[in-house]
Amino acid sequence: MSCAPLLEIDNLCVGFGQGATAVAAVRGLSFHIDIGETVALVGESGSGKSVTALSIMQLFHRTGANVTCGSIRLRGKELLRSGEKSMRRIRGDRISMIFQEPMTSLNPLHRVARQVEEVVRLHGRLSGQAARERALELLQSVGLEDIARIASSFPHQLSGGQRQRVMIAMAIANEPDLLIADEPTTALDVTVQSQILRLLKDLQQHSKMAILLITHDLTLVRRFARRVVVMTEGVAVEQGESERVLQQPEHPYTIRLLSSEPGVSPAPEACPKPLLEVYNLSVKYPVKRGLLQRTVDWVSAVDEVSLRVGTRETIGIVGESGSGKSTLALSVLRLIPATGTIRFGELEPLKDRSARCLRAYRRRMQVVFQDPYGSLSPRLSIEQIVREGMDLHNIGEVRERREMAAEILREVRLDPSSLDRYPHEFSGGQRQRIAIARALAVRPQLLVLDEPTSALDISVQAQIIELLRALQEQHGMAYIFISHDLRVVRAMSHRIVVMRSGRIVEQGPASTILSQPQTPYTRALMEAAFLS
Amino acid sequence: MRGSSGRNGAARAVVARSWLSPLTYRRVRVFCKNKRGLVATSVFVVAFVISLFAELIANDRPIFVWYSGHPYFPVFRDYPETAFGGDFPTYADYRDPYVISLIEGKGFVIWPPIPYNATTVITDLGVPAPSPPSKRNWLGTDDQSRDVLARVIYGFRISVLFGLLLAISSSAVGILAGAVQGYFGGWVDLGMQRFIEVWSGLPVLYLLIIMGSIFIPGFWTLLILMLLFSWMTLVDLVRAEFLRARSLDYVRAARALGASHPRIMLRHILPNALVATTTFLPFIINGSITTLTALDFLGFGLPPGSPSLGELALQGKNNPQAPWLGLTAFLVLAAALSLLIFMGEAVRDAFDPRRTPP
Repeated sequence: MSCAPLLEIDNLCVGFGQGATAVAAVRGLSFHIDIGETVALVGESGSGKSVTALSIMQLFHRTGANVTCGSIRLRGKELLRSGEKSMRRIRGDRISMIFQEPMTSLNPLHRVARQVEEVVRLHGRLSGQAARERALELLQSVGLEDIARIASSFPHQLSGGQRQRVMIAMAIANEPDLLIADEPTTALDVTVQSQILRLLKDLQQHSKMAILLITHDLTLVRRFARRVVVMTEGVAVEQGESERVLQQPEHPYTIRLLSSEPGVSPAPEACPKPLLEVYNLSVKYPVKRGLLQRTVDWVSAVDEVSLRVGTRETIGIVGESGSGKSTLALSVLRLIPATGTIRFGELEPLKDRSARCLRAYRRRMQVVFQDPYGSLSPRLSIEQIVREGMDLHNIGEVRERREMAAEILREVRLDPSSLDRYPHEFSGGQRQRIAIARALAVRPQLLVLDEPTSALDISVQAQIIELLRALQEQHGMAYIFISHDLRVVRAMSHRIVVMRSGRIVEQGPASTILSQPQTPYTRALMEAAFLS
Repeated sequence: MRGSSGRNGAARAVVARSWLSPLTYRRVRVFCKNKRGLVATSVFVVAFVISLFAELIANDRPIFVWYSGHPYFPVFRDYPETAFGGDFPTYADYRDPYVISLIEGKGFVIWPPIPYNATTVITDLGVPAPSPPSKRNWLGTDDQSRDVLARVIYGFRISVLFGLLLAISSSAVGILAGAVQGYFGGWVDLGMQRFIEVWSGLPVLYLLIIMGSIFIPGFWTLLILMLLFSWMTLVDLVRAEFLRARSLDYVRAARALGASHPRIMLRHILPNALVATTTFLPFIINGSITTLTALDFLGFGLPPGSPSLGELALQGKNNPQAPWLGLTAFLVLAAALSLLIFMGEAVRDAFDPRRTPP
């Protein structure tokens, strides 16, 4: 490009706090964005990507962050030293932003049309009927169908993808020069993700808008960004054409980031002897209406599902959110009521409802949840958390249990000295290891993993998957591995079960499913995941 | 970021291993940074501890008597008059000048700083009761010529003890009820919620008045009566915490491990719900003290004659010519309640996760 860059960031430093306790979030970051170009800012959580975006927008109000040095220029005009008033003219007009969480970034009390109109009006372009028409036009341009209904809906009546489209409509309302998209698709289902990104790309071609795409997902970068800036710990370690950076990374961090994408790898041999058999399992929720809350209908979250898990086998369950994957897991774990048959060796917990049977069942099957922050009680020490299962099932002598807990921590590659510490002192990946340790403490034969890596950074993800593989080999456990991310499932599973709306649409050996998907739904999932 | 958290974590872990969990340590630090709260707490605790030893400070019996080569402790034990060479085998009355002169003939007497009990009627005032503050009675006497300072010390003790006991017992009942409601939900929750709505709609004051005319209201009956109507404060709070926590992953994980309901409630959820409860405690104590004072003021509280701040306030109202009565009652109450509020604020801030130790 011959013309001057649209946005130049030069030696930007941002810190939190002041004086001795100050923490630098961004340290001397420099890059530029040309007109109409897409630049991706890639890094793990805590790398300073979002802070950079906020400092471009000067949205630091009450966050405790402040820019300590450097400059940010939009078309040669310095943004850092322009006052709040002139910044307000730039925000939403020249630069606009879409956020990760479409659930909370719309005002729940206003109708969609009104919120879009407000953006149009605020910058004084249009008023009255014209603003209304423009709002509808915008909603149309972001690919929403049934505009009249959506315009008069409240945000909670829309799906996540629709909400994100509304957000995009608001962001492009004033034809900004730069759109900052902060993890725009992370909270969305995989199939919706690719639609949203395609939409952004289309819009960009129409209006010569530049996009700063903030993401941790390298496949998005490969597909959408011309240039990429790789950040870690507040420093840009590598930048350049995305082709080049992703093919021949130079900096060790980029190499590590690329190598931690879950690859295809042969999992250890599975033994076909069935361990868990599930027949016609259903979970139904009543739909209640009226003053007396009469049950008028039933919604099936899981509908007549049958599956088998063999000893040492990993079953991957994939599907979008709402497809019933987690409900299936919870019902197999006997944490929510279900009908059907579950057979685990000689145990049939849905038939024999005695406490003794449930107790034996609980000991053989354990679970690891998605959110490493919610799955550990903040008031219990790591020793108490890991020991809980041993205490409940009387495993080992009481005075040996501390040593056993330490041994299990070693197995999940944590320092045994962590025993006396509390969950909040650990990072997400470490917490997930503690959750695994808690499950391992009762020596289960089957481990249900409900999106165990989804909340983690990509390099941590790879470590956890590696750990799970090693543990499977060591203890001969079977896994039920639930994920919406086909790449992770591919790396783990012997067999794959595809779920949609509570039903199994397809199941079979992983290689077959991945090479010859039978249903269009599976193909859509695969396309979204591998972006083939 | 990871580096710094690791360093802090290590430093904190050292403290944790020594005696406190890091979270508690952080809270203690925030609490101590609040100067007003810290001063209020120390003043209150000192005042309360002193009032616990009221018998040694304000009493109509000597702390120590040395009589013919033997030590006597009249505060702790009753001695017959004959022990000091008197004529009758009845308990010695140390306010009798004759008994004192007997003792001082063969030894000596050590009096508490205030030589009156809360119920001691001073017979040799010289002026009609209530008498104004003087060298002998620092805060004057009340309308039955009893020393006001002595009554204030005993009254403060009984008020704070009552407040503490009521707050602790009503919190315990409230937490239990809230925990059961929130954890089990459904019909249990619905039924208990409706019951609480009806129960809290009862006119408490009238019921207390009616009850007061049936029973003779002593310390414990009053405590139980008031407990019947004060346990609802925490229910909603604890119920909400349990409702939220029961669907959290760590509770699910505990269930998957096979933990029983009581164990999950006690070990996994309750510690997390206790924050809100602890924050409320000083304010509940405050409310309890106020209620007791109000009842005493109206004459439906503790039995007649017992030292109480409310009764002192009532005397102040009935004796406008003796302003030291009303003023003392007002100042002591105001000071005690303010100290508790400052304490409560400091505790609340210490438990506020958004506040970091400065």
